[in-house]
Amino acid sequence: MAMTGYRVGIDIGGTFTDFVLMDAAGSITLYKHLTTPHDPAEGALNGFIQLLKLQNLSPSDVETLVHGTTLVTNAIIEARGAKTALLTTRGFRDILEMGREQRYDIYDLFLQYPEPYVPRRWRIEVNERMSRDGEVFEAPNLDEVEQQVAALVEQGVEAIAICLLHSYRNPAHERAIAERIRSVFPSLAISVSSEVVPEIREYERTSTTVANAYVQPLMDGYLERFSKALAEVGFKGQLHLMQSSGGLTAPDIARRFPIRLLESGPAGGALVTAFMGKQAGLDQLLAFDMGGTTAKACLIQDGKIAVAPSMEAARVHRFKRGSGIPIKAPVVDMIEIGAGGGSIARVDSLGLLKVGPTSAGAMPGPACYGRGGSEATVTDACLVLGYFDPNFFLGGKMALDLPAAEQALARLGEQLNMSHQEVAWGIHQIVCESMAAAARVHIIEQGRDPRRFPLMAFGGAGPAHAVQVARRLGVSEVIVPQASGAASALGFLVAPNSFELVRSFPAKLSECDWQAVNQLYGEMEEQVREVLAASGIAAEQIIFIRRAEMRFEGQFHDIDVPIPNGMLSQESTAQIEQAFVEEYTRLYGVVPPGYVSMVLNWRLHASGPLPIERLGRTASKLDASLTVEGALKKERLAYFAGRGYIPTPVYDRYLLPVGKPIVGPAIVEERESTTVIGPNDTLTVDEVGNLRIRLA
Amino acid sequence: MSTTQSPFDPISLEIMWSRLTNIAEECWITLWRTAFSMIIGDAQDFGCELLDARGESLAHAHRSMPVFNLTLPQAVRLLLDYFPPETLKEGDILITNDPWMCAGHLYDVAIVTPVFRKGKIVGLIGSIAHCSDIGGTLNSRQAREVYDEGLQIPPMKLYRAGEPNEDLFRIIHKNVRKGEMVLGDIQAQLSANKVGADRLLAFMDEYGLEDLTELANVIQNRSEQAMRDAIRAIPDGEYRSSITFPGIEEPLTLPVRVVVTGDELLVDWEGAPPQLPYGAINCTMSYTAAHSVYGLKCILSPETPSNAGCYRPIKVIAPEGSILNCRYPASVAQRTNTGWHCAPAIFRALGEVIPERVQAFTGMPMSMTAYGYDAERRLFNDHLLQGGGQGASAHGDGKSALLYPTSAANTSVELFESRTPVVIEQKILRPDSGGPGKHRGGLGQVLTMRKLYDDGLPVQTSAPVERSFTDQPGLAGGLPGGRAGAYFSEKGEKIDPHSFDGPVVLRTLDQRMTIEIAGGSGYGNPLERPLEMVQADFDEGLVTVEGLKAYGCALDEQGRVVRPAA
Repeated sequence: MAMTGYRVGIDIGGTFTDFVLMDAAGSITLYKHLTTPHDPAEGALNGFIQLLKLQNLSPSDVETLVHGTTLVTNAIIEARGAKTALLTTRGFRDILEMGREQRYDIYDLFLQYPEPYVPRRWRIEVNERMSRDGEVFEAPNLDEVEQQVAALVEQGVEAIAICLLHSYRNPAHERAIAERIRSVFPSLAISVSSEVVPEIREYERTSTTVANAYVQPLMDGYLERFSKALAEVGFKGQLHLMQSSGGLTAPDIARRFPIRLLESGPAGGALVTAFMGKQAGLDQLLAFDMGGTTAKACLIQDGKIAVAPSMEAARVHRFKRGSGIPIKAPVVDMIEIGAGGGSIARVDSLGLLKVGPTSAGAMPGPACYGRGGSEATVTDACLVLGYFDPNFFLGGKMALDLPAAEQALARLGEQLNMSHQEVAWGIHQIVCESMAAAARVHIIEQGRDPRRFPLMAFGGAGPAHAVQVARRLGVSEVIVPQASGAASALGFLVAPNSFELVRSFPAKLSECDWQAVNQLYGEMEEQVREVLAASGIAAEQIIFIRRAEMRFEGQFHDIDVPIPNGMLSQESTAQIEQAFVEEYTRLYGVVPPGYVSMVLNWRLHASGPLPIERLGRTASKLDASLTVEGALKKERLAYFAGRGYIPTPVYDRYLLPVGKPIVGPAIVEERESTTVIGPNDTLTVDEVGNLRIRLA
Repeated sequence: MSTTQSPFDPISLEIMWSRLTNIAEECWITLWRTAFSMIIGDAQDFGCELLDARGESLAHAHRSMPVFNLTLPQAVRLLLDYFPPETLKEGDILITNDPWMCAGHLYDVAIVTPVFRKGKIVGLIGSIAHCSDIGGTLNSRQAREVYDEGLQIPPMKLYRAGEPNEDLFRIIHKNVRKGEMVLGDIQAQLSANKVGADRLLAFMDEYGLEDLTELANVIQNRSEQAMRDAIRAIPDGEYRSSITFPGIEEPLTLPVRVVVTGDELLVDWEGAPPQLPYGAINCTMSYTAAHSVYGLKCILSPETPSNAGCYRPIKVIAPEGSILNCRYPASVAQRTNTGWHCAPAIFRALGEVIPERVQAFTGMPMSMTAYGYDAERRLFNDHLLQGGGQGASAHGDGKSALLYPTSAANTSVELFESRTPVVIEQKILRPDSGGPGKHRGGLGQVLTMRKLYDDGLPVQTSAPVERSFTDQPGLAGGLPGGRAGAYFSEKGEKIDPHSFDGPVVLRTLDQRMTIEIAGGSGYGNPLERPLEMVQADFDEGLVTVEGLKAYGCALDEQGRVVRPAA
């Protein structure tokens, strides 16, 4: 096909599917379409065509389509996956159900845990056993396994997870079993733990492999339908999928490891933050995305998104750590808390005002939506504080009912002996504090100083709260980028193709068998080249980054240490040791004396070239005739700490000139969100159209 | 508005309160991530807490060990009696593992850092962690006195004005197995306390607080009020019950009397058996009180954040010299075998008035240890901690395999095998071990260990033979869960658990150690369990043909579960 340079990002969310078209110069076009839950491929395809029509293009003009979806997440949360069985080592069929056996709330006697995706009758024990060093104690009888699987197929099983003890050390048994099953039952979806997550700890490996198998048939069917439909409308370019880690991958790999797509949306948001940050000259940032039900925060360090090795899915209590299913797959390292525009405020048994995590959602929604909601929410508070214009919500598409908000707040006020305005200010403060608190812990867990990370705000509610959150974190700057409404889909278009692999091979650093490590990295590099070749990336374009998880012998938690590329040898020891000690000191202050350093997992991250250097500028932003006065819409009373209700100018974001400072208080309105700037804070629009707010 | 309000209006209070919890949480994460032993780093047997200048608790981390949260305040107050605050200097750090002052056995080491602001102590950060070893005998059953159980650390300074007390570090190192592991864990506690102290000062700066007195009073008084309200909701009266457990030579019974008077509650263990001369299952009063009030907190006021105020309306007494209030120098290392029965006894007593709040007996956790030297003379010493079946309740069935009443996690089999030369041959649920009831108790589990190598080297493992070998009745007509068990076997032949005494040594590949962890007891009459739930349990292999009988069920000719009319 001709090199047109057109690329499209599609993010299928719960309510809306977002579309972004980007041309070779980086100029973007946005489109939104309602998601079609019965078959998301349908809405995605229709929206894709509508988006292209806006620029008089057709599918055949598009070179690359990057796709992210909540399909996997929803299947996991709603337990709508395939009929899945588990083959495991004799004596261990219940590992999946037992989990870590930990209570996630020490005062709650009636804790609930997620149901395992495989019922006990389909958790089948194989007569086999491998030692910790990968020696075979007992080899599986494949004929026997075949009979066991035949019985499962008879019962309607569609997917099989294979997870045997110590397979991260020697995958031979898992592979032999998988091979036999594939040859006899080619229609079964098969997930093998030594491929999905070859890491020590039997429960987390099992839960991840099972979840992968559980969503495999679904993803398989969806991608098949979508690819076919794309071909029918004339699309001849490359289709990529966004992984939770922020890397793109080919459809084949997505079909093998669908669990790696679990958090594709948030990954897009993080990527766009890193990208926009780079344009703004910032490489340390906190991405802050606040929507209707939750707020998410993610760190950008040295211009890169932080990627965690695992996450928890399908929590019984969304915000309680330990109440979900551990998924060990690289994922953008974020925290999610129950504080969004719809979060409900209430008075608890101690007489304290609490906000969230219960949300009024879109229906009935906040009291001010006038859809029957009577409980006071974060949005109601913003309205009463004067931050939102009742007649310019969603760009005026929706009118807000101010008296309804006031009444809801007044009802809480009666219980607290406070006015409705005081309650509104209280809700605003509490919600900002809980976001700041969660972000603070998250940043400190990474061993970083929260004050060093300017906030980049997204989401419908993000820009209205970002300045307050920043103030509580001690952060001096807030950035509100353009197109924050379709951030994830835009993020898809700035990501390189990438893939990550990991191998467990624990060794003391000083006694490490470097020949074995070299071989291990050789194999991983080979495997990654194949994966990336599927996305059309040549071997010489690939950038490899090696890291290892290290700890002192006897410890249980690792820190991430850079490992040099190329052949490793005894001489590499000193360099790796030094890197380890430096990182440990940074995180925990002091290195305990006299302990032996160890390497546990060897990681390889491989990525292709970056697709684009910078976004194109929107024409109006360059218009020299724009003035601050011209952008002024009106003035209204808005509430600020220590000042009460004061007259506050309201600006139209689309008319603000570049580089002209405005001293707060100020409110900036755009279609998808409203930015609130406190007294004496300074707002400037930068060259790429970001709102830059410097806190007083 | 905010300018005219007192610093502690409901909004500021909510914010400051959660900030204090946040500080404790940061301490916890630091300790967890830097620990060296499996018991702390993997199983999480530790806690972190923030206390006011008087040693009254203010906040603990979410996953803090419940009993540590409740025993640390007493330890801190006694440390401050010993080292009066006016004599302490900035940079002093206090330590003790005295079982009577602190958490009931020598393994639990408390480290307390006073936080100074403008030369005055404004609060304390404390942590208690279960160290992997504290010296002494590995055969607790034979222990007669605390002297047999390892190193006693009386109230001491681990740091003096910022300088480490090297003598004490050397004494600890020399007196415990794997000294570097134990000292590594102590370093982790020190880091955690340091993080907490730094954060507390930053918090006080931010809010311009000169001390925490006023804030502490408000927080503790509100929590106290919530607990008083919860107690007042229970009709005044005396509620009695008892619980029987295996003891050492013979089963023992703990009678309990719970007295509710208005908004105050008394737990009286009058009638508890005398302390035992050996066997290490004696509880100190601090430990008994902690397990009694922890259970009450769960059923009375589970949603209130825990602090000293919650416990003011509750008094716990036990006769001096009894197994629940033992005198120095009784042996106490295995005090969980007794103390973990306190809350279930209280639940039974209060079950008659607040049946929907309590839970039937939960099968107690057991741990198998593996200790010895490998062929390269490297020492190994790790704990394989696993949970029993959760007791059922009015709310539903119990979970199979859950660690209660600790906040710990289990240990990974693969990780355990990678650190010790043993093979775990099975870790699996025990069918029929869930106590039958309208709501079924969770199932217990069985684990079997053997040696990895045929090298003749001994692997010493523990045989917790005294734990949960008795039936524990359920609530509201529920039946007992499967009892705990432990046995040694050779060439497939079982050896009676009571025919051997003390630690078990595995020497050949034919020898096995097996532990069977108890299931949870049931709730409600098993005959009322809906047939389709019995069928589902049967289909899943959780209940066998034999087990159907307790539900009044059997299989029909088609192999379906039926319940013939009685």
